[in-house]
Amino acid sequence: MNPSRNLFRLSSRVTAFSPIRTQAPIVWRRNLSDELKSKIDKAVKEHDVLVFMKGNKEAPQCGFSRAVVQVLQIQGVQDFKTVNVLADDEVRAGIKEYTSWPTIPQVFVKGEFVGGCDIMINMHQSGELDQLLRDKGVIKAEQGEQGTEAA
Amino acid sequence: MSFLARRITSRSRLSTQSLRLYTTSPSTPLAAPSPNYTQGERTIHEKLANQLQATKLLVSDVSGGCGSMYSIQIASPLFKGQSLVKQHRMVTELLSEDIKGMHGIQIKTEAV
Repeated sequence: MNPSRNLFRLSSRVTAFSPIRTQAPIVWRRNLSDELKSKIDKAVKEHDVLVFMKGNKEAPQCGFSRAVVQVLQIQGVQDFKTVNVLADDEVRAGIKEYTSWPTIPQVFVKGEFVGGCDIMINMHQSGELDQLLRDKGVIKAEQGEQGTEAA
Repeated sequence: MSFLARRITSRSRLSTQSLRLYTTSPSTPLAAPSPNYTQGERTIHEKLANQLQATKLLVSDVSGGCGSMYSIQIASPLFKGQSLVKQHRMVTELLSEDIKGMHGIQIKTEAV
């Protein structure tokens, strides 16, 4: 038995509490401070629909962010809030760790992460998004896209 | 002979002839990489095809060959029963290192 091998195993047991030595797959919170995490927690619960994007509703600064804004507007979501990640590097990096999602934009509905641009467009086309927004009470019966249902 | 080698490694998309450099056995369910792939596309394709048992997979460099934006269309039986968010996460987790160097990524998943 290789003595140095034993030593290594021993040392990792001894320093089990130190996240640096543990062998379990720990997700390092390099960008997401506890403070930022609770700020994001609070923001996504506070607003019915919250979008982390590049730019803002009036002036999106990325094609994918713009697409998400347009989809929400078409669905009749009147007052969704947006967070401009370009204005804050900590949020830009932190939100990606918060959701384990590598890209912006990110859409939250009633505190739950729904997806990015690809998912929003997919759900919009399939009607799933409309259903989700109605189920969560974000859009009311009279609002929303004029359906293309047969008369 | 060397002329042929240059043609094979060319990144030109204009070539309509696909030079089969490998044999695909008819029983393999994994989506094979296109012979016209760039190096970046091939790397991503191989990672995803193997680990997600992709039955359909198309990786496209949509940044004009720069490798900074990829579009991925993938169908896999492993996606069955998973939410879209979970399906996308399965893809991005496998590519987490590659994504760090990209400006963007587009993903379309299908449970097949």
